[in-house]
Amino acid sequence: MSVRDVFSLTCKEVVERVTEYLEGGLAPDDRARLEQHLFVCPPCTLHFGQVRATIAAVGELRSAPLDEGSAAAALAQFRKWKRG
Amino acid sequence: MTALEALERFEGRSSLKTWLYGILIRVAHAQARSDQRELPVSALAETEVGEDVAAVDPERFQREGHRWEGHWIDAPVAFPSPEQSALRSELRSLLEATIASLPVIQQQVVVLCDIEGLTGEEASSALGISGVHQRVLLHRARSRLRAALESEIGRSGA
Repeated sequence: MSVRDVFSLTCKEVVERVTEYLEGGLAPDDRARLEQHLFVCPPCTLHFGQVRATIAAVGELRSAPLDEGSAAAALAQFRKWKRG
Repeated sequence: MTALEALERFEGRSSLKTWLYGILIRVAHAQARSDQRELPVSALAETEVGEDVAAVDPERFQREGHRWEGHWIDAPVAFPSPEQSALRSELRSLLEATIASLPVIQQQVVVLCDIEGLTGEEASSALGISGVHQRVLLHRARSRLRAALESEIGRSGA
């Protein structure tokens, strides 16, 4: 495999495929090309790390208790909906 | 309750969780439509997906004609580990505010997938959108959230 093959995808293209890659939406050939790129491209590897860290941080919001303002807003919306 | 009234119509075609989310989303959209004449969810998804939005600022890549066109000019910074940063209340607030600022259909996709833990298939079924649209919307939402964190972490050196 030549350097040209590895960089058949630009970094700009790689960052647009991160979600498809993580969600299993890439065809096997595309997945292999992307993994080859990541293997030799530290900046794209850092970018993927940022995306994974973002997903983990967003997942942490689930365990957050509602603050008083959010709880009151949700209750107000519910009452409004109930009144129709 | 709408969900309870509709329970007898549930035919086991999807998981109970997906079905309940579907009802809640449709109720929320019906409410929003009556308030603001909002488009149905499938039309919202179609409109959003049709827009060309870059995940990362194009200025961060080498320009056309450069030997390394399309490659990073400067490498991104590594985010601190979750133990060091993710639980910090400022970042939590930033993520919540960024989610609130997203277009409504992106909000629903990211909440269902990355907070509530639904699979892509479950989320697209609950929202009544295609799997391709669900992935594009999730990509847009995550890109905005990543950029918000990167900007804050870069600014504060968190």
